[in-house]
Amino acid sequence: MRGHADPHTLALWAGGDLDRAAAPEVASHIDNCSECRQNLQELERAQAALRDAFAEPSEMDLQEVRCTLAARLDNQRKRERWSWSLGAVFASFVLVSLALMQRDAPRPATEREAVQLPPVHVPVHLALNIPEIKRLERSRPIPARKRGEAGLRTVNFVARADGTTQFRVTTADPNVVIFLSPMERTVEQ
Amino acid sequence: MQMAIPSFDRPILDPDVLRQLIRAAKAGEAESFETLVSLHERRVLRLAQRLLLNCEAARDAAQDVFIRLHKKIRSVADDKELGPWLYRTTVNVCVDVMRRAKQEMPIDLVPELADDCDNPERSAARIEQGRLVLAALKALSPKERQAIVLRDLEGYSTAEVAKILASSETTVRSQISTGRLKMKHFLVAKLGTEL
Repeated sequence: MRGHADPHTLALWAGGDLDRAAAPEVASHIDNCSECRQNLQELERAQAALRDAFAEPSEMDLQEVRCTLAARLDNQRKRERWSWSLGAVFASFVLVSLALMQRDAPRPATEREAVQLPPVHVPVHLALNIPEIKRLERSRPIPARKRGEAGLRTVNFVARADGTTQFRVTTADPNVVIFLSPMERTVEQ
Repeated sequence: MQMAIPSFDRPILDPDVLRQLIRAAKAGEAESFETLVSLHERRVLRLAQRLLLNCEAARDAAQDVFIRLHKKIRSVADDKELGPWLYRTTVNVCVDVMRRAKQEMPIDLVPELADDCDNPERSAARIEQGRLVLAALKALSPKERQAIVLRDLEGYSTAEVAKILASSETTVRSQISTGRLKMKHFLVAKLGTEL
């Protein structure tokens, strides 16, 4: 080892914290260097003074910790009990309120109380003007076996760009779509 | 000089009994909790006194530690975890106390009284040296003080100190060596050859 030992190394050595691998070199240096030996002795004396300076906690201090802790825990338990009690009261209040609200709410009429109305029939006739039936040109006409039976399939109400409306009727034959413009509507009672 | 090193692994009580106590305290049995407190109160209060150097603040801190234990007892897994948990919590509570203190807390800890009654001069010198040691410890940074107290006074290994302080062993070794050197310089400057 050149020069003196690093002060941090000596400080660790004094407390037995030095890495054992580095210890033999430091030990032989301390044996041969009076200055490092003196530094080490001062460190060891400082550590001894540190250990001597502190007394164990007195019984009075411990007793005070115990008493105050017991009182604080007791208060805490009381607060917890209060919280539970308040919670229970609040829950009861909510349940009673819900029960009262349920009692005042309109209940469905029983069969005896219900008023039976006679059924009303409202026949509706829709007059339609059929200006044209378009036959859509398809590049590959759908074969006849797929057309199924003739008849209406779906009726859609379609709004056009010019503001008018019309029905779009699809048939069993996908090649045939009927567009209808409603002209007149009468309701008969 | 080598000293007896306490360790987390050294059982404070028969492990089975301790486990039963913890289980009962978790179930809300007040008596078992009080027994757990009585097993650890001396170590917790001693650590708080050495970190804060103020008796009143240390008593309050020790109570806070056990109040926290009461709240968190269910999260402490087993008997092996309880010790490290308590000492880590003590350090954290003391750090909070130091941070919250609006003004410097005075040292009101009385150094160990000399038992050398026949030689009053020597007793007085020893008490004065004790006061200087407390002042030297107070002059350290909080981290250095924590590391020195846990390693040199409480006697935990570097690994255990690192675990309590949630730090690395390298950092703790650096804090320990710096703390020891600062204390030595302080005491040599004040006491000279009397050290």
